[in-house]
Amino acid sequence: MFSAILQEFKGYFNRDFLFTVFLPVLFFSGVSLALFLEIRMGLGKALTAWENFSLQTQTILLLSGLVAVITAAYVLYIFQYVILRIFAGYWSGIPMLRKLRNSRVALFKRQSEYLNNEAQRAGTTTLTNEILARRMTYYPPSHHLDKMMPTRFGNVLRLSQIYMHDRYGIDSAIIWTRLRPLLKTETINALEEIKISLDFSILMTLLFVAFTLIWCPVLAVWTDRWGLFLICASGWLLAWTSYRNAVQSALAYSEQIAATFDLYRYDLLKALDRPIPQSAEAERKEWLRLSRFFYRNIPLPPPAPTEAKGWERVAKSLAEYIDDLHPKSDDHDGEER
Amino acid sequence: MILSRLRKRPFDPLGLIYWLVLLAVPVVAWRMYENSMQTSILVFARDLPAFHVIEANDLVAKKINASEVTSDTVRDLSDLSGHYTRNAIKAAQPINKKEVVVISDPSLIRNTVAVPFTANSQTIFSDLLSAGDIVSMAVLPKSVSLPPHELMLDSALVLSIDSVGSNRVITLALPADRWSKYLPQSQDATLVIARRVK
Repeated sequence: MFSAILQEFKGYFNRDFLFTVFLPVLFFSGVSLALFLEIRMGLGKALTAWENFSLQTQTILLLSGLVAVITAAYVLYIFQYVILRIFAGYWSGIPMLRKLRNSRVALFKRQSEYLNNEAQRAGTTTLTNEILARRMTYYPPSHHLDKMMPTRFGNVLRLSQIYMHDRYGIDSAIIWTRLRPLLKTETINALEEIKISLDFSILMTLLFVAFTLIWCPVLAVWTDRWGLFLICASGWLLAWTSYRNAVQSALAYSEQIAATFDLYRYDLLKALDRPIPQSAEAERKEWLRLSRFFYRNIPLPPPAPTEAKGWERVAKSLAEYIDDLHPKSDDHDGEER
Repeated sequence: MILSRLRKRPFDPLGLIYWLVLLAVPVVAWRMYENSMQTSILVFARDLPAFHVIEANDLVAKKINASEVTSDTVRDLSDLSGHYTRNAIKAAQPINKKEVVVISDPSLIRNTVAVPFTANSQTIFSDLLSAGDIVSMAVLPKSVSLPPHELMLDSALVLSIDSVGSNRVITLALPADRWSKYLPQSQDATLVIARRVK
């Protein structure tokens, strides 16, 4: 029974949970507790008080702290998807951010336009290329400005969706859940590796901002501990660094997702028993039909007859040749059928 | 050229807020540093005359530079409560411990007037007199025809001792309702002040 419980726990405390939520929450809880004790009584006195506790009390306190941290981490873990979406700029459902969304999208459009102009004005080819590379890395293509998101993180994640849609007509949000089970373990591992880094960076950004916005005013209003204040204020810079790191992770993730679709999309078609399209146009149509089928339940047309290949083609040509040599009457044909 | 480019660059209000917060950090830290360099002391809320019995409503807290605080600066209320001012003290100034004197017996300063006496080594039986001491006063008639010396006051509070030229001026707290009685007694007599042993 114990091993069953342990297995259950292992399921909950996987690597993803440990790195993306538990460790950051543990770190910030520990630092916050240390700060609180330092302000209230001084760390030295707190440690002396801790040493004066009995072993039983120490164990109970440690366990209670651990349970509190795990609970907080688990709550964050549940809301991680929501947090990610907020960072990606899906703000339509949040009335407070809805207005901000429009102004941010307009700003990013202006920035994109600005980079285009800068690229045209750049004196050298190298500089032009550099500016255009930046433009293409952080903003949707000029013909997809309507898909602009209100955050840089969101725009970077959008790039892979636009790429898949433009190249193959794939709606990645719908198709991804069908494709994922078909992926090889090493591909999934590579994706998860980047996803852990991305989630970690996003949560660190959030926690650094929260830490700074809570502790700096507390220290400034109730104490004159300027050294501690500066340490806490460094969280503001670290939040920015974490966010930049999250954007870079999102770039890598976006690239990896695009590569996965490039390499494995036919596997999904095979698994769905759909023919492999022969042209880019046919492929776009096929993925569009599949997306509509999955998303809106619009029935799929039967697969178009495919041209025979190899020995099948030789056999077919031979049959036609024999038919030409010995033409059969319509009646016979009918009888044979 | 760089400036014109910056001007054309789309303005990001959120970015500006971020940098403003970042710029506010050193400003706030500097204010906190200055605060940490200051210390809170008690000062008088208004100008006080000499020999004023200090009460809680005479005092306010004030932050001053820690460098202005010496070991003689009064910091705690306990150093002021039950004390009187030895001399006139200006408001909002750090109070020196020497400027206030503890009252060992409050009844000795209640309803009293400050009466200065010129004293010399002959009139003071003890050279160790200091403000706050309790003394006995007696008069020694200069003329032998007068009655022998009489104890004028059993206990009186020494408010201050100041030097004026070669003489010393001792200011005593004498009961307000009786002090006029002492004046005729002290005429043609030597005033002797002796410190009471506690």
